[in-house]
Amino acid sequence: MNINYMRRLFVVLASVFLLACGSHPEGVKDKVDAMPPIFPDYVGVTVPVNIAPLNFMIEGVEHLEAIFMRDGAELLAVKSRKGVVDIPIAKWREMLQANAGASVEVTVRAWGGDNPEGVEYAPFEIFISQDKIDDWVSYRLIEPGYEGWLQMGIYQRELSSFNEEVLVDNSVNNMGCVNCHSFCAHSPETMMFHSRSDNGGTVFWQNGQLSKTNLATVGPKKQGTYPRWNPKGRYVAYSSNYTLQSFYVGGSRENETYDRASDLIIFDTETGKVLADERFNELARWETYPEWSPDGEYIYFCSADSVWMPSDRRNLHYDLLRVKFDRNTMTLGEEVDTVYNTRLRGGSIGYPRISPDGQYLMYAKLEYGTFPVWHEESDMEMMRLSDGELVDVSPINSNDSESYHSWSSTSRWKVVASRRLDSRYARVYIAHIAEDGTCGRAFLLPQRNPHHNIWRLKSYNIPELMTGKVSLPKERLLELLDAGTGRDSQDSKAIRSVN
Amino acid sequence: MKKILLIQSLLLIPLVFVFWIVAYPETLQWMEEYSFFSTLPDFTHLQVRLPGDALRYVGAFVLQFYRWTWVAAALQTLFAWAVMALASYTLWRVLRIEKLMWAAYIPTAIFVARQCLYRDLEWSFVWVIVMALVAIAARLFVRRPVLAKYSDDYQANTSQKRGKNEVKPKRSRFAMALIYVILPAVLLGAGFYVSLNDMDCAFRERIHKMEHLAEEQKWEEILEFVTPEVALNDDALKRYAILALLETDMLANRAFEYGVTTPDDFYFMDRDEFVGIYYNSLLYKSMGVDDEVIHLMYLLNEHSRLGFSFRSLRTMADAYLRIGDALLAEKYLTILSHTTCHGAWLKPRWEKLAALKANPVPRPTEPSDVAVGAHGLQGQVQLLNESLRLLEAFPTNKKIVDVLLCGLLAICDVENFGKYFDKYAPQAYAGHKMPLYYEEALILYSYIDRTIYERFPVRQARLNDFQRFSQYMNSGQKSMARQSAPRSFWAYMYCSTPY
Repeated sequence: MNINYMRRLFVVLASVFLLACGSHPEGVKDKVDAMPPIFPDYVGVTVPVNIAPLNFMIEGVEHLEAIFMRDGAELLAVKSRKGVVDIPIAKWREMLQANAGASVEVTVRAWGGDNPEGVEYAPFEIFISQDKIDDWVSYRLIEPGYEGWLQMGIYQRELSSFNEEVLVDNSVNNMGCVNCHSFCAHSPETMMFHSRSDNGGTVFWQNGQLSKTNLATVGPKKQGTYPRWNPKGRYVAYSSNYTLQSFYVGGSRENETYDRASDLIIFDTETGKVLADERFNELARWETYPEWSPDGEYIYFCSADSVWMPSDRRNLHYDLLRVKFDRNTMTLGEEVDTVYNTRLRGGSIGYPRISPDGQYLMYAKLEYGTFPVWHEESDMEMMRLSDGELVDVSPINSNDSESYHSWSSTSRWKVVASRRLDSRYARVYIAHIAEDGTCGRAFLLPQRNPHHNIWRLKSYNIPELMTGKVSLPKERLLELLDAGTGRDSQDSKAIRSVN
Repeated sequence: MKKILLIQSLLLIPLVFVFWIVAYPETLQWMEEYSFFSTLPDFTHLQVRLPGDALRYVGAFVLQFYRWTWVAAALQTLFAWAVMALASYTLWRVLRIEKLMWAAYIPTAIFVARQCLYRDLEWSFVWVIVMALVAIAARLFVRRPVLAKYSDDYQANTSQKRGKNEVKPKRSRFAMALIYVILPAVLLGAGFYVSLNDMDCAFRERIHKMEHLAEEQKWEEILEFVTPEVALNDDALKRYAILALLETDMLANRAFEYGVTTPDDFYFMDRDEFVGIYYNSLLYKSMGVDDEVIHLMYLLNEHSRLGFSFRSLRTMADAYLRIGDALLAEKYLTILSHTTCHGAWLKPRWEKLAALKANPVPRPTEPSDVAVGAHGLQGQVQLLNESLRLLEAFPTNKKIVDVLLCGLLAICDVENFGKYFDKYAPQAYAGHKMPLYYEEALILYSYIDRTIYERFPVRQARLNDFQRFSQYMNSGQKSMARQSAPRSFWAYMYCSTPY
């Protein structure tokens, strides 16, 4: 009897508790004309048909409701959990597929904060593009910009879900550096990255095989820095940079990263031969950030007259040049074209990237110097290659630094690293580029919990779109990069050295 | 068994607890500062990987509670007690000889001797797990406890077999004291002795004490602890004394008493470990250069076992609050709010943040031209170059002026001292009494610039002192000269240094 009574009481209490937890207000007191202040800001964006749910929140608001509609018909309604509109992934995918090529209207209702009685904001539109984006994006996660790190890695994220996996991290090279990953024509089957540690080198993943080459020990013995894989395979262009950093105090910028020398080399992955053309390997001019034309026939690169760094940094302006490349003879042509002349157009150019369809060239343009990440004025600029005219891509840009970027294999999407949220941590933004060059508003890479964009203690570095997931054999990696002892002796070493 | 364990526990618990409270209170606090734990997803996604890093995860979780010294000491005691109790159980299970139960203190003493080295708790857990496994093995495999010839059970059994009544073996009070108290206490004492003689642990305790006093701005206590005699024998402590002198406006009155001979003595130059990095951050904080404090915290993270530490996060949050960067201050405060023990610490900071949001500090719009770190020349004048550059940004900062001027005096560069004193002192020292060394150095500088007294009058008494000092020097009576002005800059320059 007693037991039965207790059971009933427990059931009643549990039901009350569950109802209290799950209760969501109904009805709103106000309607306002303003757009909802959602985070991330997805108002008016164009999204690929295969993107992960655009979960969002409103700061300080506990209860939210999002209603997705088309032509007055409700497609999906989602109530928030813990202040986050967490859209069910299956229903989201279904909605995107059914409405590809059309706009859906999103009405947001919010209860809490300044509106405890509830408010309904003006509806906004999301355009679902039929253009698919590549399935995966890879990026390095690292503390934002300074010299030191303990844990770092290159990660890959499935864009249609929230799945993030390790591509390679520095547990394979004794907490050294893994950086500058590059793919051949977006292929997950052909890629490379640098491992900086004892027993380090450049690791190539080709034809299901892992191999390692220390570029500093072959041919002209130049270290490879910023890579670019020829879209036709076989060759990888590198700049070879001697890079330093200075740390500012008291101004708008924390850091200046610069080179005191940089050259251009090309590596043949089949023969191991390195081409170091004398014209692009001398002290008077610095070459950096190579890029290939989609047909692999031209190599583009940034180039500047050398100056005394960092004192003369304001006089350092990188032009964009190009030179023909003969794949059969592995030689560079005589003529060097100037694609972007900073003397005429001003600024300095970094990260040139040509769309795979060959129509557009996008680059980061900063006031001076070579490292857009730390230049808050750095913006994306896009040139139509057929006539050299600039195309407006202002919807991608912000008041803060836009830096590394990559094209999708279809040329219709861009991913861009931007520091716009807090001026310190770069996050990945996605923007649509139509065939005529019309640029959609950039939106933040969706996360299951939007807070994750704020909480993460790492910066997104070098976002690169890939057509699939990379699977490197970890045992072989460890074999290639084994750097010996662990790092746990650090703190004992510290005391010894102080003593 | 229970009685034995109770007696052993009554002995061990107070002794080990008091030992930690008395011998290593600063180290206990530092263990929490060096660690990091968070309930945010990245902690298990990036920092620790379960199940491989399970011990690290548990260690990091427990270390959160080391924020309070008495809790930390209690937890350390708990580890030692667990080792003792498990050893006791195993011994009892295997031998059942009461008079040998003191032997449980042998592994306990070894553990206590080594415990100050187990700063991330991983080894403490390993000890407990191994001891537990041994105890489980004893439980499983010693099915019938061995009735050793000298065991109490054996004696009782044999008495019964001989038809005698069971008689409890009687021991003298001394024998009882020896078994239950003296031998265990001696073993434990030996463990304490070994621990206290560990140079690593002793050095850490001293240096962490300085760090904590500096954090709490207890400069007088630092100077009480680090007397000039102590400073002469310990370079690390010397720097804390110099920091305390700088903070108490005494640097230019007493620096040479503490064995300063070069500007390098003011900070840890090019130091790549956590003691030097943290000291340097305290120095830059003292000089009001928060950008460099943040930079150094990123470097400090490299030396934390988890890539971040509570110390660096707290320091960065405070630095961003001082700078007025609400976004980043909020980020780090939010991350700290996802830990277990920061409620009280966060409360006043949330209030500061709210005040900052209500009255935002305008962000600098232009990059600074002043950089620290990488611009510097190598060698002993690095800090001088740095302070000169910092004065371009903060020309009235008295502490930076003191570092520059005292640094110049340390290398006996009177000419540059006079030049920069003339430039910076009128603003930095407006309303302040001229320090002793500066007055003495100006008397020397007056031989280079005879007009200096017009701008900076020097007391007649000091002129008379110098008259007397120089008379002794001119007559070759160096020791008399030193005695006439033993703590003066003149005595340092002419009687103590190689310059």
